[in-house]
Amino acid sequence: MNKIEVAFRKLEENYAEFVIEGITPAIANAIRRTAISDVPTLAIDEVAIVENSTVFFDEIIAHRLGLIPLKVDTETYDVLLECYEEGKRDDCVAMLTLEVEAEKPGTAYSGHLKFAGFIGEFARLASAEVKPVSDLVPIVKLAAGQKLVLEAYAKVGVGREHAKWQPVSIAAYKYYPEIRIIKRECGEEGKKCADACPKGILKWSNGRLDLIPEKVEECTMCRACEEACPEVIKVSWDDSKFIFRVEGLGVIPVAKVIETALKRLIKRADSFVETLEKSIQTRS
Amino acid sequence: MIIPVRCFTCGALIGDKWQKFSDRVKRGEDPSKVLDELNIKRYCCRRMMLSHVELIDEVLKYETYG
Ligand SMILES: [Zn+2]
Repeated sequence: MNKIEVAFRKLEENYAEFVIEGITPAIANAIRRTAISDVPTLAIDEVAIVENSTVFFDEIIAHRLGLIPLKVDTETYDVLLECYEEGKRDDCVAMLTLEVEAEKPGTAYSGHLKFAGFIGEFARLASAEVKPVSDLVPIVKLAAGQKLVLEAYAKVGVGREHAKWQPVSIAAYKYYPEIRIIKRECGEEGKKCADACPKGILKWSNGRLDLIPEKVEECTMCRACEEACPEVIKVSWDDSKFIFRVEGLGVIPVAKVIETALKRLIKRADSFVETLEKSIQTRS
Repeated sequence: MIIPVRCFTCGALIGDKWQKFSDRVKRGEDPSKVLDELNIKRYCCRRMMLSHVELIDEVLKYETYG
């Protein structure tokens, strides 16, 4: 088996860019899909409306509440993940309350949501806090005298079930580009080729066509350069090397999303092997 | 009616940026520049802002409560 190598180009709290070498497209895609649809997060799933005299129906408000990303610290996340994987998602529920009464016209924001503790058997989460990623998400606008009072229950779930549980907005990859310049010195023709590239990866000076090495990874393989002068340049890609881009929603750090995705993928593969072995045993 | 919480296509949070976007554009700034500065990069998220009409303000005028 090939050696797998990973190199991070960028790693921020909510954004990661990295290159993986030595995997197949199938595995790259499995990682991508798992990050989007199988990494559990916390989102409001049940709402008890106490009073709602706003212009929105209860359902619209509940739907909007569900879509607000909720932030948890990584220690709490680990406990929640464990709870979810044990199939006890109804036992690790976070309660939030919201009470807004408008004396003058105003807006109910996600920042008005107050964390009221965890319900269920998970007492060790006592010190944890759940709060919206942003305090400025408008839930509904209120006219003078209108009132919104509710209790919201956040549960752990996965993106496969509903997009509100997605930990990332973007998880995408592309093949690593391989650009080959066949004819370096081709006079004025080369300028046409360099100008065709929308990402400015090629440079032409003194009748010589060159790649700008630090920009090669920006290539989208659009082949505009190839079209401009087919005899001069060839664009292809390495299908065992991938450039990944992952943009998080701020729910948990992207590094944690990727780590959890890989662990969940391995667990799935393991359970597949287990089931397979069991079914072979029962046959013989 | 009111700005959606997330982008329909990619799911990025955009609802919290509407007020800033709307205020600045009304003041006469270039929408494209404002979107760049709010770090809304993809065109799926940008159209969420550009095509939005805050109709709830009109509905609120007809509130019958109280
Ligand atoms: Zn988007």
